Amino acid sequence: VGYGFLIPDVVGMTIFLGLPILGAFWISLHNWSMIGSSTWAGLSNYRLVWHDAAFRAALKITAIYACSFVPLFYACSLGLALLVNQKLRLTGLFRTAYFLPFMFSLVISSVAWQLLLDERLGPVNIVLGWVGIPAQAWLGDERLALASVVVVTLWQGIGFGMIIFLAGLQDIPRSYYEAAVVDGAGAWRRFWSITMPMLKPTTAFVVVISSINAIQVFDPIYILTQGGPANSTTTAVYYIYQEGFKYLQFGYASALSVVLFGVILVFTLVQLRVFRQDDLRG
Amino acid sequence: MIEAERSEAPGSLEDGDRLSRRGFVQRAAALGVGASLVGAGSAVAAPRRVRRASGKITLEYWKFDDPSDKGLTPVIKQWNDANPNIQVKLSTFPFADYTNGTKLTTAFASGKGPDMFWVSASTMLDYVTNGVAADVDDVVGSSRSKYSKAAIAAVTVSGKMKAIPFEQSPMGIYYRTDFFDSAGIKPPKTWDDLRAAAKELTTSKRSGIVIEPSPGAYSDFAWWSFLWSAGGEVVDPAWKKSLLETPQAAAAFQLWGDLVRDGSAPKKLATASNDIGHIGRGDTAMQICGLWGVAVMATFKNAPYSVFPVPGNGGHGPVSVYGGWMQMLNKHSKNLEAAKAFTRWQWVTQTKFPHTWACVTNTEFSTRADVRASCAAQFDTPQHKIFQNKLLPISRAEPRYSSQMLTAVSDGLQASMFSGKTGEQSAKIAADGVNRFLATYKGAH
Repeated sequence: VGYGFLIPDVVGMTIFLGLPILGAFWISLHNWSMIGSSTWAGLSNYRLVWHDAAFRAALKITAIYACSFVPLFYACSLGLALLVNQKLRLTGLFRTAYFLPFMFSLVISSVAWQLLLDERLGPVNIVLGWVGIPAQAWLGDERLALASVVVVTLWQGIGFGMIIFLAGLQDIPRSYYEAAVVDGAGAWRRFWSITMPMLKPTTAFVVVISSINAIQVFDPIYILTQGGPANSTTTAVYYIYQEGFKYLQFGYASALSVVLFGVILVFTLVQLRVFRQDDLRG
Repeated sequence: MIEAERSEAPGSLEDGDRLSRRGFVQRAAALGVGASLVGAGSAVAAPRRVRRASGKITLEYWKFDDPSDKGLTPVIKQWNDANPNIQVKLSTFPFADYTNGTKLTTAFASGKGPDMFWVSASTMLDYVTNGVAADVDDVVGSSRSKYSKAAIAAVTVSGKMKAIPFEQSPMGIYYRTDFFDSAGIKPPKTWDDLRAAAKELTTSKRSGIVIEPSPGAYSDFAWWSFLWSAGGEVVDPAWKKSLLETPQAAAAFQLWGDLVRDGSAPKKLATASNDIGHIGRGDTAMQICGLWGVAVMATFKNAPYSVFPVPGNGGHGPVSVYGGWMQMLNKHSKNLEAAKAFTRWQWVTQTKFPHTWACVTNTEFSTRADVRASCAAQFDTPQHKIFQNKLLPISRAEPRYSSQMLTAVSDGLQASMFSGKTGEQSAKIAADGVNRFLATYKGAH
C-alpha cells in the first residue's frame, strides 16, 4: 500500500524530471539549432565544453555568487527567524513584512530594484548622498554589479529561509531550554548548545536548497544586468541560455546543462555527506 | 490622399489573386487525393486537406507586444471579413520572449511555428540558415521597383528575398535645444566636439549623452553609425575575416569608452536607450535613437529638441544606420500560399495599410517609395524633415550578422565601456570573437 501512494509522485517525476533530463542528454549528443534539423555529434559538444574558457569564467562567477549568497542567506534567514521567534508585540506583523518580498515575482522586484539602484535618479544613491557617499553605478560597474544582484536576491529570498528556520525553532522542545536555564546556561550557551544542534536538519535543507538555487541563478541576471557589464554577471545558467536561445546551439547548450547538472549533483552529495557526518538524525 | 486600389479590396485573394490561387489548385489537383490524405509534407497539399477537413484555414501571425498592434487589428479584420476560408490570427508576445527569446524557437522546435512572423536584422539570418524562411520574391513580384534597392538587398540572401521589409527607421542623435542654448553649445560636427559637449552638459541630475550600456544586439545597432562614420567595417564582404582590428573601428570603440569614463554617459539605464523619454524628461542632453522617437517626443510638450547625425571621424562623412522589422514566412507552413497571399495584400499590392502603418500608427519610413511620398503630409515637423532629408540619404540597412558576431562586437563595447580597455584592445576582443565564429561558419550571409 505504501508503494501505491508513491506511484503518483514517481510517475510525475519520471515524466516531468527524468525524461527531460534524458532528453537533454540525448540532445547534447547532437548539433541542433532547434528550428532546423539535427545531426549526430557524438561527444564533440562535451569536448567543446572542456575547451570553453567563457563557460569556465561563467562557472567562476557562479561560484563567487553562490559563496556570497549562501552564507549570507543562511545567516540573515536564521537571524530574522530568531528575532521573530521572540514573544514580542507585533511579531506577526514583522513575520509578514519579512516574508512579503518572497511573495513578489522576482521579475517585478528586479524591475523595482533597477529603478531603486539607478545611478543618477535612484533613491539608494540619493539616500547615500545625504551621508556623503558618492553615487555609484550599482548595476553598471564591474566591481558592484554581482554584489548588487546578491543583495537583490537576498532581499527577495530570506523571507522563505526565515519561515523554514522559524518552523525548525518552534520544533525545539521548550523543556531543553528550561533545563539549561536550571543548569545556569546563559543565552549564548543555550544558542550554541541547544538551538544550533537541533537546527541541523533545517540547516541542511536550507543550505542545500539555497546552494542549488544559487548555482542556478538566472531571473535576476536576465532582468537586472543581462550578464553585463562586460560579462561580470554572466553566470553558468545565463551562459547556457545564451548558447541555446541566442546562438541556437541547443546541442551544445544541452551539453553545458548536463555538465552543470553534474556539478550540482556532486556539490549536493558532498553537502549531504558533510551534514550526515554531523548526524542529521540527531 | 490615398486612392483606393483594386487590390485594396478585402476580397482580393478570391478575386484579385487568380494566378496564385489557380496555381495552388492545379498543384493540389496534381498531387491527387492520395497525396493529400497522407499529407506528404508538401506545402501545397496540406491546405487542401485542411480546407476539406474544416472548411477554412487559420494563418498564425506572430509578433512582439507593442502599442502599435492596434494598427494591425483593423487590417486583419478587413481580410478576415472578406476571406472567411482563410482567417488570420494575430498573436503577440512580450518583447524579450519574442526577440532572442524562447517563443519562436520553441514553437519551431515543436513543429508549431507560425505561418507569418516578424524578424529583425539581428535574428533574420538564423531563420534563413536553418531553413525556416520561405523565398518571397513572388510575393513582391512586379512591385519590386517600388521598393528601395537597399531594403531589397538587406533581405536578399544568395539571390533570394527572404522577408518583406516594410519600414525603415534611421538613427540620429536627439538633443535638447534648450540645454544646448543655455550652455552656448552648437550641435557637434566632430567626435571631439561631441565628447566635449557631452561632458559639459552633464550635471548631477542629467547625463550628457545616452548610449546603450547593456550588452546585446541593440547596443551594436546604436553603435554601427559610429563605426561606419569612422570608416570602419565589421567583416570583409566574403565573410572570411573581421575588419575590426583597424584604427577606424578602434576609434569608435574608444569613443564609447571615453563617454562612459568621462561620466557623460550612464553606465546603466532604468529603461533601454530606445526609449526617447530620457530626452523628453530631461534626464539627458543627447541620446542616440531612431525615427520612432519623434512620435513619442510629441507627448513631451516642454521639451524642445532637434536631431543631428552622428558626426563623421577621420575624414569620413557621417553615416547612419536604419533598422526596421520584416515579415518572414514559414517555409514549412502547410498554408504557405495563403500566407503569401495575405502578405502580398497586406504590404505589397495596397497602399492604404502600409501608409497607415508607416505614418499614422507609427513614425517610420516605408521601404516603398510611393508610400513614403504619401507620408509627406504627416511628416511635416522640422525633426521629420531632418530624418527625411539628412539622415535617410546617408543611412545603411542594419547588417544581418549572426548572433555570435553581434555578441563579439557587444563584448568589445562592454570591454571599452566597463573594463577600462583601450579602443585597440576592445577592437581586438571583438575581432577575435568574430574570427572565431567565421572560422567554422559555413552558412549563408
